[in-house]
Amino acid sequence: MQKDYLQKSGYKKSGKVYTPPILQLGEFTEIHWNNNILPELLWIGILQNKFGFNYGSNLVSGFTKVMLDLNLEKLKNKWLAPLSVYAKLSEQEKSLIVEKVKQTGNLEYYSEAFTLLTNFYPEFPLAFLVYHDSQNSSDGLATFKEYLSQLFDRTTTTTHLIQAVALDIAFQGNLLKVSPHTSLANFPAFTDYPHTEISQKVASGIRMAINQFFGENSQFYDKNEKWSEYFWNRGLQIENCYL
Amino acid sequence: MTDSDYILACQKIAHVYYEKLEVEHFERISKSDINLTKTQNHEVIHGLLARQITLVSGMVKSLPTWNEHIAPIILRCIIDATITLKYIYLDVDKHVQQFVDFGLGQETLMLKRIKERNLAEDGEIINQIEQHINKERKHFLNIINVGSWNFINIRETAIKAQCKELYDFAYSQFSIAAHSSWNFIFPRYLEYCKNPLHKYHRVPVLPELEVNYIFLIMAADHLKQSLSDYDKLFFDSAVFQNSFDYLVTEFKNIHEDVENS
Repeated sequence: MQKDYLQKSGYKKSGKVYTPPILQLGEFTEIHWNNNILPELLWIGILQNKFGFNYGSNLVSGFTKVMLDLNLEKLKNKWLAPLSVYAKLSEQEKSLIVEKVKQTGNLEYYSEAFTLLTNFYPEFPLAFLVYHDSQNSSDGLATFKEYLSQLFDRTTTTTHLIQAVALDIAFQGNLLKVSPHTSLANFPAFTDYPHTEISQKVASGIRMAINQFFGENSQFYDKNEKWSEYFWNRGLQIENCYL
Repeated sequence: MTDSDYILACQKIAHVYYEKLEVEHFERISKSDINLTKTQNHEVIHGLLARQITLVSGMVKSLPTWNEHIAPIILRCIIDATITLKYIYLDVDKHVQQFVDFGLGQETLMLKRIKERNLAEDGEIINQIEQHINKERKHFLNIINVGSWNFINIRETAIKAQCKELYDFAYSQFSIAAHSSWNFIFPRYLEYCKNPLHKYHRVPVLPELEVNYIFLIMAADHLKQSLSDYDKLFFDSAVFQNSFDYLVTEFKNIHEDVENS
């Protein structure tokens, strides 16, 4: 029989095409960390990087609480982690949000953290939180690039901390309930990542849940949103390629 | 050894190798037992061998082909001819006829295509092609086969000719160069942009055409296999100068010089 060695390895033959075992389990769709997810969750990482994990994450939770309290019609039952969810807010809605954030006393932190991104990416969805008036800074850009370069590996502690907080936003909004038998039920154990087995299982559960939130059939994320596409293509306008 | 010394040394060895190869070739042909009632047989076989030797000659005379970008295309042609020859040897009369019929049919098909497009400026070329075909066989007598010449694919040809390993590990590997397949392209013609703002995409690069003698040795080795097949089939015992041994020995010496310098 032709290609016995493939069929012995579990490949299924159909005409001239051999399908590997894993793809025989069902229909798969791809979720790209770099293409789609990273730009959407970047704001969480920027806050964590600027103010440390604890305070940065608290700022994220604080902002989410403001949004949940406001309960804007447009954002009802929406997952508040992806940036593009804020892209269609009206000017009135943005002003309302700024007012509420001011009342928390934290507006200056968001403004400071997001200034660079707003300067270089004018369509940044949270630009309305920025009131700092600063020049484009090449030093700031270099720092941002260095931080961004750390985010391409989805399995590092840094990127897991971003994903964990993004998932926490789903918990805050009551969008996510987990069975007590799953690894995600041990969510607090993630703080020991990657040093314990349970934290690695929780991390795996986090990645899987994030994929589902961004996935093909997700009711929580609109795949037609343009922020990710804008973010990467804007990079080509900001600087040239170098080898 | 400087780079230019290396190039000069490679050129000299390659040229001497080819001179020896030519001498071997003409000695081989002169000793061949030709049956003039079956001229087609020796014409096809000797023509294919000449084709292989000419391909190697092209490499000998052009050092910029001694690299992974160009050499595989040439090597694939050489190996294709080797598989064809091995298959022909299984039943020379029948397979030579199939080979000739297919070739003339293809030429006739080209003639029909040109006539079909009905361009005034094609008049001269149509005449030339018709005369060219008619010297072999009247074009209207040629069956046109749009499949393969022996009605099986190259893989099945290699299996029947008992050289499947040659197909799997040489022909197929060099085919990705001939077809510019993605697995040939991405490691050679793309490099990662180091700008994180650009998502570490890859940009096209134009690599230098390095000179690596190993590619000439590979071509010479495949040619040697083909010539050995011929010799085993048509000569009881034959003593020819071994051009390939010269090539390998001289390049080994260069390699040692390069290592020591």
